[in-house]
Amino acid sequence: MLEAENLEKCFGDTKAVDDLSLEVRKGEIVGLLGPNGAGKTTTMQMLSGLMEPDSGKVSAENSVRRSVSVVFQEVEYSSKLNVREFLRMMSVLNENTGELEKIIEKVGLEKYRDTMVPGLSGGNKKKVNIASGLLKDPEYLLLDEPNSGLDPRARKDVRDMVSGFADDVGVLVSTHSMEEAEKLCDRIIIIEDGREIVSGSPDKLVAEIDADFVVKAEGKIPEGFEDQATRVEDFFEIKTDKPHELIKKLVESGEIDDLENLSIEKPGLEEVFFEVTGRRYEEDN
Amino acid sequence: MKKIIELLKADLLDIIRRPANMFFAVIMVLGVLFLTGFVLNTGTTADIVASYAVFISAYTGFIMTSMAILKDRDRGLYRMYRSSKLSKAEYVSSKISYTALSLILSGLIIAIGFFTSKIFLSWLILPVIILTVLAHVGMGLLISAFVETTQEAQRIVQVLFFAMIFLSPVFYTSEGLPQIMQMLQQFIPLTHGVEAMRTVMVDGNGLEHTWRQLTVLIGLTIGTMTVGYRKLEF
Repeated sequence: MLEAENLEKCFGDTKAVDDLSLEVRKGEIVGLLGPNGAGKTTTMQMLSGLMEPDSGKVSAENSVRRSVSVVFQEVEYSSKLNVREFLRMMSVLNENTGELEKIIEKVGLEKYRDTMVPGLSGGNKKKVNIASGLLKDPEYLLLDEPNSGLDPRARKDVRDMVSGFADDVGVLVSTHSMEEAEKLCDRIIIIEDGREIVSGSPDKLVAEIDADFVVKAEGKIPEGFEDQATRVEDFFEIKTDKPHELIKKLVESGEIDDLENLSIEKPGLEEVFFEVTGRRYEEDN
Repeated sequence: MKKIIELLKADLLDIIRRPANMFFAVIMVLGVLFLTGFVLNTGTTADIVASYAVFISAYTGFIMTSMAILKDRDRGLYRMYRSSKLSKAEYVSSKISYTALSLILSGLIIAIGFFTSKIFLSWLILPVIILTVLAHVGMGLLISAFVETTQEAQRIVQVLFFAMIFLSPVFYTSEGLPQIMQMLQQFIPLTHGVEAMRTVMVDGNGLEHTWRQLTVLIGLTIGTMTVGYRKLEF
Protein backbone atom coordinates (compact mmCIF):
# COMPACT_ATOMS: atom_id res chain seq x y z
CA MET A 1 0.00 0.00 0.00
CA LEU A 2 1.21 3.50 -0.86
CA GLU A 3 0.56 5.60 2.18
CA ALA A 4 0.92 9.29 2.89
CA GLU A 5 0.67 10.52 6.45
CA ASN A 6 0.06 14.12 7.46
CA LEU A 7 1.79 15.66 4.46
CA GLU A 8 2.52 19.36 4.57
CA LYS A 9 4.21 21.53 1.97
CA CYS A 10 4.62 25.31 1.85
CA PHE A 11 5.88 27.52 -0.96
CA GLY A 12 6.81 30.77 0.74
CA ASP A 13 3.75 31.89 2.69
CA THR A 14 1.41 29.67 0.70
CA LYS A 15 0.47 26.33 2.18
CA ALA A 16 0.06 24.08 -0.86
CA VAL A 17 -0.65 20.88 1.09
CA ASP A 18 -1.96 20.92 4.63
CA ASP A 19 -2.00 17.81 6.85
CA LEU A 20 -3.07 15.49 4.05
CA SER A 21 -3.21 11.73 4.60
CA LEU A 22 -4.22 9.20 1.98
CA GLU A 23 -3.59 5.67 0.82
CA VAL A 24 -3.66 3.80 -2.45
CA ARG A 25 -3.97 0.02 -2.50
CA LYS A 26 -2.85 -2.20 -5.35
CA GLY A 27 -5.71 -2.95 -7.71
CA GLU A 28 -7.76 0.19 -7.03
CA ILE A 29 -8.13 3.49 -8.85
CA VAL A 30 -8.29 6.47 -6.54
CA GLY A 31 -9.33 9.88 -7.78
CA LEU A 32 -7.72 12.99 -6.33
CA LEU A 33 -10.15 15.76 -7.08
CA GLY A 34 -10.03 19.44 -6.52
CA PRO A 35 -10.19 22.79 -8.27
CA ASN A 36 -7.11 24.37 -9.88
CA GLY A 37 -4.52 25.20 -7.24
CA ALA A 38 -5.96 22.73 -4.74
CA GLY A 39 -2.54 21.06 -4.30
CA LYS A 40 -3.05 18.00 -6.48
CA THR A 41 0.23 18.23 -8.41
CA THR A 42 2.24 19.00 -5.27
CA THR A 43 0.66 15.97 -3.58
CA MET A 44 1.53 13.81 -6.60
CA GLN A 45 5.13 14.99 -6.52
CA MET A 46 5.46 14.19 -2.83
CA LEU A 47 3.83 10.78 -3.30
CA SER A 48 6.29 9.95 -6.08
CA GLY A 49 9.26 10.85 -3.91
CA LEU A 50 10.29 13.67 -6.26
CA MET A 51 9.51 16.35 -3.69
CA GLU A 52 10.30 16.28 0.00
CA PRO A 53 7.36 17.20 2.24
CA ASP A 54 8.00 19.85 4.90
CA SER A 55 6.51 17.38 7.34
CA GLY A 56 4.75 14.03 7.20
CA LYS A 57 5.91 10.94 5.34
CA VAL A 58 5.23 8.76 2.32
CA SER A 59 5.81 5.02 2.51
CA ALA A 60 5.29 1.89 0.41
CA GLU A 61 6.24 -1.78 0.69
CA ASN A 62 9.43 -1.06 -1.29
CA SER A 63 11.37 2.14 -1.95
CA VAL A 64 8.94 4.88 -3.00
CA ARG A 65 11.22 6.19 -5.78
CA ARG A 66 11.54 2.67 -7.25
CA SER A 67 7.91 1.54 -6.94
CA VAL A 68 6.00 4.70 -7.86
CA SER A 69 5.81 6.08 -11.37
CA VAL A 70 4.33 9.47 -12.07
CA VAL A 71 2.87 10.63 -15.38
CA PHE A 72 3.05 14.39 -15.53
CA GLN A 73 0.48 16.74 -16.92
CA GLU A 74 2.77 18.78 -19.13
CA VAL A 75 5.73 17.51 -21.08
CA GLU A 76 6.78 19.71 -23.96
CA TYR A 77 8.30 16.88 -26.01
CA SER A 78 10.34 19.16 -28.20
CA SER A 79 13.10 16.55 -28.58
CA LYS A 80 13.43 15.53 -32.20
CA LEU A 81 12.92 11.85 -31.53
CA ASN A 82 10.31 9.53 -32.93
CA VAL A 83 8.02 7.49 -30.68
CA ARG A 84 10.15 4.36 -30.92
CA GLU A 85 13.40 6.23 -30.16
CA PHE A 86 11.90 8.12 -27.26
CA LEU A 87 10.27 5.10 -25.64
CA ARG A 88 13.37 2.99 -26.29
CA MET A 89 15.35 5.58 -24.32
CA MET A 90 12.80 5.51 -21.50
CA SER A 91 12.85 1.70 -21.47
CA VAL A 92 16.63 1.67 -21.10
CA LEU A 93 16.45 4.26 -18.31
CA ASN A 94 13.84 2.08 -16.58
CA GLU A 95 15.77 -1.16 -17.13
CA ASN A 96 12.79 -2.63 -18.95
CA THR A 97 13.63 -3.01 -22.64
CA GLY A 98 11.87 -6.39 -22.78
CA GLU A 99 8.41 -4.87 -22.43
CA LEU A 100 8.85 -1.98 -24.86
CA GLU A 101 6.81 -3.43 -27.74
CA LYS A 102 4.12 -4.78 -25.39
CA ILE A 103 3.65 -1.36 -23.82
CA ILE A 104 3.60 0.42 -27.19
CA GLU A 105 0.72 -1.88 -28.15
CA LYS A 106 -0.96 -1.59 -24.75
CA VAL A 107 -1.24 2.20 -25.09
CA GLY A 108 -2.21 1.96 -28.76
CA LEU A 109 0.79 3.66 -30.33
CA GLU A 110 1.79 0.89 -32.75
CA LYS A 111 0.80 3.00 -35.79
CA TYR A 112 2.90 5.93 -34.62
CA ARG A 113 6.24 4.23 -33.94
CA ASP A 114 8.03 6.28 -36.62
CA THR A 115 6.20 9.56 -36.00
CA MET A 116 8.22 12.36 -34.42
CA VAL A 117 6.95 12.89 -30.87
CA PRO A 118 6.49 16.70 -31.21
CA GLY A 119 4.24 16.05 -34.23
CA LEU A 120 1.80 13.78 -32.36
CA SER A 121 -1.71 14.86 -31.39
CA GLY A 122 -2.37 15.84 -27.76
CA GLY A 123 -4.00 12.46 -27.06
CA ASN A 124 -1.09 10.49 -28.47
CA LYS A 125 1.42 12.63 -26.57
CA LYS A 126 -0.47 11.68 -23.42
CA LYS A 127 -0.16 8.03 -24.45
CA VAL A 128 3.61 8.46 -24.89
CA ASN A 129 3.64 10.00 -21.45
CA ILE A 130 1.69 7.11 -19.94
CA ALA A 131 3.83 4.54 -21.78
CA SER A 132 6.94 6.19 -20.27
CA GLY A 133 5.38 5.81 -16.84
CA LEU A 134 4.47 2.17 -17.44
CA LEU A 135 7.96 1.32 -18.65
CA LYS A 136 9.09 1.67 -15.06
CA ASP A 137 6.91 -1.35 -14.31
CA PRO A 138 5.52 0.47 -11.26
CA GLU A 139 3.56 -0.90 -8.34
CA TYR A 140 1.77 2.45 -8.11
CA LEU A 141 1.01 4.73 -11.02
CA LEU A 142 0.22 8.40 -10.42
CA LEU A 143 -1.51 10.20 -13.29
CA ASP A 144 -1.59 13.97 -13.09
CA GLU A 145 -4.56 15.30 -15.07
CA PRO A 146 -4.32 12.59 -17.76
CA ASN A 147 -7.31 13.93 -19.66
CA SER A 148 -6.68 17.65 -19.64
CA GLY A 149 -6.84 19.21 -23.10
CA LEU A 150 -8.11 16.06 -24.82
CA ASP A 151 -11.17 15.64 -27.02
CA PRO A 152 -13.93 13.23 -25.89
CA ARG A 153 -12.64 10.36 -28.07
CA ALA A 154 -9.08 10.65 -26.73
CA ARG A 155 -10.46 11.02 -23.20
CA LYS A 156 -12.30 7.75 -23.57
CA ASP A 157 -9.19 6.03 -24.94
CA VAL A 158 -7.13 7.19 -21.98
CA ARG A 159 -9.92 6.26 -19.55
CA ASP A 160 -10.22 2.74 -20.99
CA MET A 161 -6.46 2.36 -20.85
CA VAL A 162 -6.27 3.43 -17.20
CA SER A 163 -9.14 1.07 -16.24
CA GLY A 164 -7.08 -1.77 -17.67
CA PHE A 165 -4.02 -1.02 -15.53
CA ALA A 166 -5.68 -1.40 -12.17
CA ASP A 167 -5.47 -5.20 -12.11
CA ASP A 168 -1.75 -5.07 -11.41
CA VAL A 169 -1.11 -1.65 -9.94
CA GLY A 170 -2.58 0.94 -7.65
CA VAL A 171 -3.57 4.04 -9.60
CA LEU A 172 -4.03 7.58 -8.31
CA VAL A 173 -5.57 9.94 -10.84
CA SER A 174 -5.66 13.65 -10.23
CA THR A 175 -8.32 15.52 -12.13
CA HIS A 176 -10.75 18.36 -11.83
CA SER A 177 -13.26 16.55 -14.03
CA MET A 178 -15.96 15.06 -11.82
CA GLU A 179 -17.39 13.15 -14.76
CA GLU A 180 -14.08 11.39 -15.43
CA ALA A 181 -13.59 10.56 -11.78
CA GLU A 182 -17.09 9.14 -11.48
CA LYS A 183 -16.56 6.87 -14.47
CA LEU A 184 -13.07 5.76 -13.58
CA CYS A 185 -12.46 5.69 -9.86
CA ASP A 186 -13.24 3.20 -7.09
CA ARG A 187 -12.62 5.82 -4.47
CA ILE A 188 -12.52 9.61 -4.48
CA ILE A 189 -10.62 12.10 -2.34
CA ILE A 190 -11.70 15.71 -2.76
CA ILE A 191 -9.14 18.27 -1.66
CA GLU A 192 -9.16 22.01 -1.52
CA ASP A 193 -6.45 24.40 -0.31
CA GLY A 194 -4.29 21.31 0.22
CA ARG A 195 -6.72 19.75 2.70
CA GLU A 196 -8.98 16.74 2.36
CA ILE A 197 -12.61 17.77 2.43
CA VAL A 198 -14.28 14.43 1.90
CA SER A 199 -13.45 10.92 0.67
CA GLY A 200 -15.21 7.67 -0.17
CA SER A 201 -16.62 5.72 -3.12
CA PRO A 202 -18.47 7.85 -5.70
CA ASP A 203 -21.76 6.14 -4.83
CA LYS A 204 -21.27 6.65 -1.12
CA LEU A 205 -20.40 10.31 -1.57
CA VAL A 206 -23.41 10.92 -3.79
CA ALA A 207 -25.69 9.06 -1.37
CA GLU A 208 -24.46 11.11 1.57
CA ILE A 209 -25.18 14.53 0.15
CA ASP A 210 -28.50 16.23 0.14
CA ALA A 211 -28.64 16.83 -3.61
CA ASP A 212 -31.79 16.72 -5.72
CA PHE A 213 -32.56 14.92 -8.95
CA VAL A 214 -32.99 17.20 -11.95
CA VAL A 215 -36.03 16.65 -14.16
CA LYS A 216 -35.36 18.27 -17.51
CA ALA A 217 -37.67 18.64 -20.52
CA GLU A 218 -38.33 20.78 -23.58
CA GLY A 219 -41.64 22.66 -23.68
CA LYS A 220 -43.95 24.73 -21.47
CA ILE A 221 -43.37 24.66 -17.71
CA PRO A 222 -46.20 22.55 -16.21
CA GLU A 223 -48.80 24.34 -14.11
CA GLY A 224 -48.01 24.42 -10.41
CA PHE A 225 -44.25 24.07 -10.97
CA GLU A 226 -43.51 27.65 -12.07
CA ASP A 227 -41.78 28.52 -8.78
CA GLN A 228 -39.55 25.44 -8.77
CA ALA A 229 -38.52 25.54 -12.44
CA THR A 230 -35.61 27.32 -14.06
CA ARG A 231 -35.51 27.83 -17.81
CA VAL A 232 -32.39 27.19 -19.87
CA GLU A 233 -33.15 28.15 -23.50
CA ASP A 234 -35.95 25.81 -24.71
CA PHE A 235 -35.58 23.53 -21.72
CA PHE A 236 -36.77 23.85 -18.17
CA GLU A 237 -35.26 22.16 -15.12
CA ILE A 238 -37.01 21.21 -11.91
CA LYS A 239 -34.94 20.09 -8.91
CA THR A 240 -36.63 17.56 -6.65
CA ASP A 241 -35.74 14.79 -4.24
CA LYS A 242 -38.83 12.81 -5.36
CA PRO A 243 -38.75 12.69 -9.17
CA HIS A 244 -41.24 9.81 -9.35
CA GLU A 245 -43.91 11.97 -7.68
CA LEU A 246 -43.30 14.80 -10.13
CA ILE A 247 -43.59 12.44 -13.11
CA LYS A 248 -46.78 10.96 -11.65
CA LYS A 249 -48.29 14.44 -11.42
CA LEU A 250 -47.33 15.23 -14.99
CA VAL A 251 -48.89 11.99 -16.21
CA GLU A 252 -52.10 12.54 -14.24
CA SER A 253 -52.50 16.11 -15.46
CA GLY A 254 -51.81 15.05 -19.04
CA GLU A 255 -49.12 17.72 -19.40
CA ILE A 256 -46.51 15.09 -20.09
CA ASP A 257 -47.90 14.79 -23.63
CA ASP A 258 -46.76 18.36 -24.42
CA LEU A 259 -43.20 17.76 -23.29
CA GLU A 260 -40.28 16.52 -25.37
CA ASN A 261 -36.85 15.11 -24.47
CA LEU A 262 -37.88 14.44 -20.88
CA SER A 263 -34.98 13.21 -18.76
CA ILE A 264 -34.16 12.66 -15.10
CA GLU A 265 -30.57 13.34 -14.09
CA LYS A 266 -29.20 11.68 -10.99
CA PRO A 267 -27.06 13.82 -8.69
CA GLY A 268 -23.38 13.10 -9.34
CA LEU A 269 -19.97 13.95 -8.02
CA GLU A 270 -20.27 17.47 -9.35
CA GLU A 271 -23.12 18.04 -6.94
CA VAL A 272 -21.02 16.43 -4.19
CA PHE A 273 -18.15 18.77 -5.01
CA PHE A 274 -20.28 21.91 -4.96
CA GLU A 275 -22.07 20.73 -1.87
CA VAL A 276 -18.89 20.11 0.14
CA THR A 277 -16.88 23.06 -1.12
CA GLY A 278 -19.91 25.31 -0.74
CA ARG A 279 -20.39 24.11 2.82
CA ARG A 280 -16.74 24.89 3.53
CA TYR A 281 -17.04 28.38 2.10
CA GLU A 282 -20.06 28.94 4.31
CA GLU A 283 -18.16 27.66 7.36
CA ASP A 284 -15.08 29.77 6.53
CA ASN A 285 -17.05 32.95 5.98
CA MET B 1 26.79 2.83 -18.58
CA LYS B 2 24.00 1.66 -20.90
CA LYS B 3 21.75 4.44 -19.60
CA ILE B 4 24.43 7.10 -20.09
CA ILE B 5 25.02 5.96 -23.68
CA GLU B 6 21.27 5.94 -24.36
CA LEU B 7 20.89 9.50 -23.05
CA LEU B 8 23.84 10.64 -25.14
CA LYS B 9 22.42 8.90 -28.20
CA ALA B 10 19.05 10.61 -27.75
CA ASP B 11 20.69 14.02 -27.25
CA LEU B 12 22.95 13.49 -30.26
CA LEU B 13 19.98 12.59 -32.49
CA ASP B 14 18.20 15.70 -31.25
CA ILE B 15 21.24 17.88 -32.06
CA ILE B 16 21.83 16.33 -35.50
CA ARG B 17 18.20 16.90 -36.42
CA ARG B 18 18.53 20.61 -35.68
CA PRO B 19 21.33 21.61 -38.08
CA ALA B 20 20.47 25.32 -37.95
CA ASN B 21 20.99 25.46 -34.17
CA MET B 22 24.31 23.64 -34.50
CA PHE B 23 25.46 26.00 -37.27
CA PHE B 24 24.68 29.12 -35.24
CA ALA B 25 26.36 27.67 -32.14
CA VAL B 26 29.59 27.04 -34.08
CA ILE B 27 29.43 30.53 -35.66
CA MET B 28 28.92 32.07 -32.21
CA VAL B 29 31.90 30.23 -30.68
CA LEU B 30 34.13 31.14 -33.63
CA GLY B 31 32.92 34.75 -33.43
CA VAL B 32 33.74 34.99 -29.70
CA LEU B 33 37.14 33.40 -30.31
CA PHE B 34 37.94 35.73 -33.22
CA LEU B 35 36.83 38.88 -31.43
CA THR B 36 38.56 38.14 -28.14
CA GLY B 37 41.57 36.40 -29.68
CA PHE B 38 42.56 38.82 -32.41
CA VAL B 39 40.91 42.10 -31.44
CA LEU B 40 41.14 42.21 -27.64
CA ASN B 41 44.08 39.93 -26.90
CA THR B 42 47.43 41.62 -26.41
CA GLY B 43 49.73 38.64 -25.85
CA THR B 44 51.93 36.67 -28.23
CA THR B 45 50.47 33.96 -30.46
CA ALA B 46 51.77 31.30 -28.05
CA ASP B 47 50.03 33.13 -25.16
CA ILE B 48 46.79 33.25 -27.14
CA VAL B 49 46.98 29.54 -27.99
CA ALA B 50 47.69 28.55 -24.38
CA SER B 51 44.93 30.70 -22.88
CA TYR B 52 42.41 29.73 -25.55
CA ALA B 53 43.03 26.01 -25.24
CA VAL B 54 41.90 26.39 -21.62
CA PHE B 55 39.29 29.07 -22.19
CA ILE B 56 37.37 27.00 -24.76
CA SER B 57 37.29 24.02 -22.38
CA ALA B 58 36.03 26.14 -19.53
CA TYR B 59 33.43 27.80 -21.75
CA THR B 60 32.03 24.54 -23.16
CA GLY B 61 32.12 22.82 -19.76
CA PHE B 62 30.22 25.64 -18.10
CA ILE B 63 27.72 26.42 -20.86
CA MET B 64 27.00 22.88 -22.02
CA THR B 65 26.43 21.45 -18.56
CA SER B 66 24.12 24.19 -17.36
CA MET B 67 22.19 24.51 -20.63
CA ALA B 68 21.80 20.76 -21.14
CA ILE B 69 20.22 20.33 -17.70
CA LEU B 70 18.04 23.43 -17.97
CA LYS B 71 16.80 22.44 -21.42
CA ASP B 72 15.73 19.08 -20.01
CA ARG B 73 13.92 20.99 -17.27
CA ASP B 74 12.23 23.39 -19.72
CA ARG B 75 11.01 20.45 -21.78
CA GLY B 76 9.64 18.57 -18.79
CA LEU B 77 12.08 15.73 -19.47
CA TYR B 78 14.00 16.32 -16.26
CA ARG B 79 10.99 15.26 -14.19
CA MET B 80 10.54 12.20 -16.39
CA TYR B 81 14.19 11.25 -15.91
CA ARG B 82 13.84 11.77 -12.17
CA SER B 83 10.76 9.60 -12.12
CA SER B 84 12.56 6.82 -14.01
CA LYS B 85 15.16 4.43 -12.58
CA LEU B 86 17.97 6.72 -13.72
CA SER B 87 20.24 7.71 -10.85
CA LYS B 88 21.57 11.20 -10.25
CA ALA B 89 25.14 9.98 -10.86
CA GLU B 90 24.15 8.49 -14.22
CA TYR B 91 22.30 11.64 -15.26
CA VAL B 92 25.15 13.97 -14.28
CA SER B 93 27.70 11.65 -15.94
CA SER B 94 25.78 11.84 -19.21
CA LYS B 95 25.86 15.63 -19.05
CA ILE B 96 29.56 15.66 -18.19
CA SER B 97 30.22 13.41 -21.18
CA TYR B 98 29.30 16.31 -23.47
CA THR B 99 32.38 18.08 -22.34
CA ALA B 100 34.46 15.56 -24.29
CA LEU B 101 33.70 18.03 -27.08
CA SER B 102 35.75 20.62 -25.26
CA LEU B 103 38.79 18.33 -25.38
CA ILE B 104 38.39 18.12 -29.16
CA LEU B 105 38.13 21.92 -29.46
CA SER B 106 41.16 22.42 -27.22
CA GLY B 107 43.05 19.83 -29.26
CA LEU B 108 42.23 21.75 -32.45
CA ILE B 109 43.46 25.04 -30.99
CA ILE B 110 46.68 23.40 -29.78
CA ALA B 111 47.18 21.79 -33.21
CA ILE B 112 46.75 25.18 -34.93
CA GLY B 113 49.12 26.75 -32.37
CA PHE B 114 51.70 24.03 -32.96
CA PHE B 115 51.98 24.98 -36.62
CA THR B 116 51.67 28.77 -36.22
CA SER B 117 53.73 29.51 -33.12
CA LYS B 118 56.41 28.14 -30.85
CA ILE B 119 54.62 26.17 -28.14
CA PHE B 120 55.82 23.28 -25.98
CA LEU B 121 53.80 20.06 -25.89
CA SER B 122 53.69 18.12 -22.64
CA TRP B 123 51.57 15.43 -20.95
CA LEU B 124 50.64 18.09 -18.39
CA ILE B 125 48.37 19.77 -20.96
CA LEU B 126 45.76 17.01 -20.53
CA PRO B 127 45.35 17.22 -16.72
CA VAL B 128 45.25 21.03 -16.91
CA ILE B 129 42.43 20.93 -19.47
CA ILE B 130 40.50 18.14 -17.72
CA LEU B 131 40.70 19.84 -14.33
CA THR B 132 39.62 23.18 -15.81
CA VAL B 133 36.70 21.51 -17.57
CA LEU B 134 35.56 19.71 -14.43
CA ALA B 135 35.82 22.84 -12.29
CA HIS B 136 33.54 24.61 -14.77
CA VAL B 137 31.20 21.62 -15.05
CA GLY B 138 30.75 21.97 -11.28
CA MET B 139 29.87 25.63 -11.77
CA GLY B 140 27.43 24.63 -14.53
CA LEU B 141 25.80 22.18 -12.09
CA LEU B 142 25.53 24.95 -9.52
CA ILE B 143 23.84 27.27 -12.01
CA SER B 144 21.34 24.60 -13.02
CA ALA B 145 20.66 23.82 -9.36
CA PHE B 146 19.62 27.37 -8.55
CA VAL B 147 18.16 28.68 -11.81
CA GLU B 148 14.73 27.59 -13.08
CA THR B 149 14.70 28.31 -16.83
CA THR B 150 17.11 28.34 -19.77
CA GLN B 151 16.36 32.00 -20.49
CA GLU B 152 17.23 33.04 -16.96
CA ALA B 153 20.38 30.89 -17.08
CA GLN B 154 21.52 32.37 -20.38
CA ARG B 155 21.58 35.84 -18.87
CA ILE B 156 23.34 34.70 -15.69
CA VAL B 157 25.86 32.52 -17.54
CA GLN B 158 26.75 35.33 -19.95
CA VAL B 159 27.29 37.87 -17.17
CA LEU B 160 29.22 35.39 -15.01
CA PHE B 161 31.35 34.09 -17.80
CA PHE B 162 32.30 37.49 -19.18
CA ALA B 163 33.14 38.62 -15.64
CA MET B 164 35.36 35.54 -15.28
CA ILE B 165 37.04 36.12 -18.64
CA PHE B 166 37.93 39.71 -17.79
CA LEU B 167 38.92 38.92 -14.22
CA SER B 168 41.12 35.98 -15.14
CA PRO B 169 44.30 36.55 -17.15
CA VAL B 170 42.95 35.25 -20.49
CA PHE B 171 43.80 38.49 -22.37
CA TYR B 172 46.67 39.73 -20.24
CA THR B 173 49.04 38.68 -17.49
CA SER B 174 48.24 39.27 -13.83
CA GLU B 175 51.42 41.16 -12.88
CA GLY B 176 50.25 44.70 -13.63
CA LEU B 177 46.83 44.31 -11.96
CA PRO B 178 45.84 45.96 -8.66
CA GLN B 179 46.26 43.80 -5.55
CA ILE B 180 42.50 43.37 -5.01
CA MET B 181 42.04 42.08 -8.58
CA GLN B 182 44.88 39.63 -8.12
CA MET B 183 43.22 38.35 -4.94
CA LEU B 184 39.87 37.95 -6.68
CA GLN B 185 41.53 36.06 -9.51
CA GLN B 186 42.60 33.32 -7.11
CA PHE B 187 38.95 32.24 -6.65
CA ILE B 188 38.40 31.78 -10.38
CA PRO B 189 39.34 28.33 -11.74
CA LEU B 190 40.00 29.80 -15.19
CA THR B 191 42.89 31.87 -13.72
CA HIS B 192 44.73 28.77 -12.55
CA GLY B 193 43.95 26.88 -15.76
CA VAL B 194 45.31 29.68 -17.95
CA GLU B 195 48.41 30.24 -15.81
CA ALA B 196 49.17 26.52 -15.62
CA MET B 197 48.78 26.17 -19.38
CA ARG B 198 51.06 29.15 -20.08
CA THR B 199 53.66 27.73 -17.73
CA VAL B 200 53.57 24.44 -19.63
CA MET B 201 53.01 25.53 -23.23
CA VAL B 202 54.71 28.94 -23.43
CA ASP B 203 57.52 28.61 -20.88
CA GLY B 204 58.03 24.88 -21.43
CA ASN B 205 58.11 24.16 -17.68
CA GLY B 206 57.21 20.85 -16.04
CA LEU B 207 55.41 19.68 -12.93
CA GLU B 208 57.88 21.41 -10.60
CA HIS B 209 56.55 24.80 -11.77
CA THR B 210 52.88 23.88 -12.20
CA TRP B 211 52.14 21.76 -9.13
CA ARG B 212 50.90 24.75 -7.14
CA GLN B 213 48.37 25.77 -9.84
CA LEU B 214 47.34 22.14 -10.37
CA THR B 215 46.77 21.70 -6.65
CA VAL B 216 44.56 24.80 -6.51
CA LEU B 217 42.70 23.56 -9.60
CA ILE B 218 42.12 20.17 -7.99
CA GLY B 219 40.79 21.92 -4.87
CA LEU B 220 38.48 24.19 -6.86
CA THR B 221 37.32 21.24 -8.99
CA ILE B 222 36.47 19.15 -5.95
CA GLY B 223 34.76 22.18 -4.38
CA THR B 224 32.59 23.18 -7.35
CA MET B 225 31.77 19.59 -8.32
CA THR B 226 30.83 18.62 -4.77
CA VAL B 227 28.66 21.67 -4.11
CA GLY B 228 27.13 21.59 -7.64
CA TYR B 229 26.35 17.87 -7.43
CA ARG B 230 24.89 18.09 -3.94
CA LYS B 231 22.78 21.14 -4.70
CA LEU B 232 21.32 19.70 -7.90
CA GLU B 233 17.97 18.21 -6.92
CA PHE B 234 17.35 14.91 -8.69
